[in-house]
Amino acid sequence: MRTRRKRPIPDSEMPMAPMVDVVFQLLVFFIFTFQIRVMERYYWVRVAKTKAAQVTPESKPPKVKLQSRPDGELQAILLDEKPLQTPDDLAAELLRRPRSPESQPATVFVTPVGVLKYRNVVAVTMAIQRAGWAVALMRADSGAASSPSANPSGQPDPQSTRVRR
Amino acid sequence: MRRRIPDEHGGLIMTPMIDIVFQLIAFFIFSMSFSPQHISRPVKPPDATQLGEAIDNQPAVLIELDREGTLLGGPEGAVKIDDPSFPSGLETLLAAAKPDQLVVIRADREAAYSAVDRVLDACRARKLSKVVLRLKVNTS
Repeated sequence: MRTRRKRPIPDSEMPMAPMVDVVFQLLVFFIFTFQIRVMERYYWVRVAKTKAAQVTPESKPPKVKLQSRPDGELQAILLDEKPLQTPDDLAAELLRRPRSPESQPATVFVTPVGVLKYRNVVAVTMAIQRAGWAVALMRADSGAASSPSANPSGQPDPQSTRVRR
Repeated sequence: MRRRIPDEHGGLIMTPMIDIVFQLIAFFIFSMSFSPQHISRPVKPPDATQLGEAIDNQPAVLIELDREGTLLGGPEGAVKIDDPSFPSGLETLLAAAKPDQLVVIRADREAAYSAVDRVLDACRARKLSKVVLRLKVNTS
């Protein structure tokens, strides 16, 4: 009797090479387009629509002047002409200050003077916010804005921008 | 003479490698950000602690300033702050913004504040009321 010889079973595995090719292409694409995600958020700035101040002449909001060194670093922080060293000192000083109930939110007017770097202004702004005050950023080049000649009311001229919490 | 033992598959063992490659692809896919705004990596905003919620979904006009105060992304390319075409470049960028549209200012931490101030001033002149500073979240 003649016996049938078994045929070898053909290889039933999937062809992997094309898939591996595509997968490597994908991997290369993702590696080259990968960017480390930096957490960035927004800080709202309320831009005054007109030059009209919302500051009543009776209220005396604290005025902060930021003086800069030639390299853009903070030289001094003057809170109503009182010199302070760091933004933390400013926050501590503002925490001690009483706030009039009618001024909601209580606002500190900040005037950067000179060639101050952006990060220093942000650091001061954050310190003021930590102390529970709102910030009104004045024009950087308007050092004379708070002078009596520029503003007869004696109040800082909030012509530029107000930063809100 | 040594006899070669034939490999069962006759090739490399691919399974572990493919496993790892798929893991890598999954990582890259999930860590990919689909931010609608193209931001410049060289700009490093200052750290901040008290920031609002992310509002990336809103259509916004992005104004970027690098550490030299150079305006990025304008139609004329990068424009330095002391360049005479800085105001016009800024105006061109802001011209695309509607009055109720968000303007995002993303400036480098080392930039002069006066550059940011000029952008804020231009926003005020155009009566753009929704302006935000894009800052880095300080996690420490």
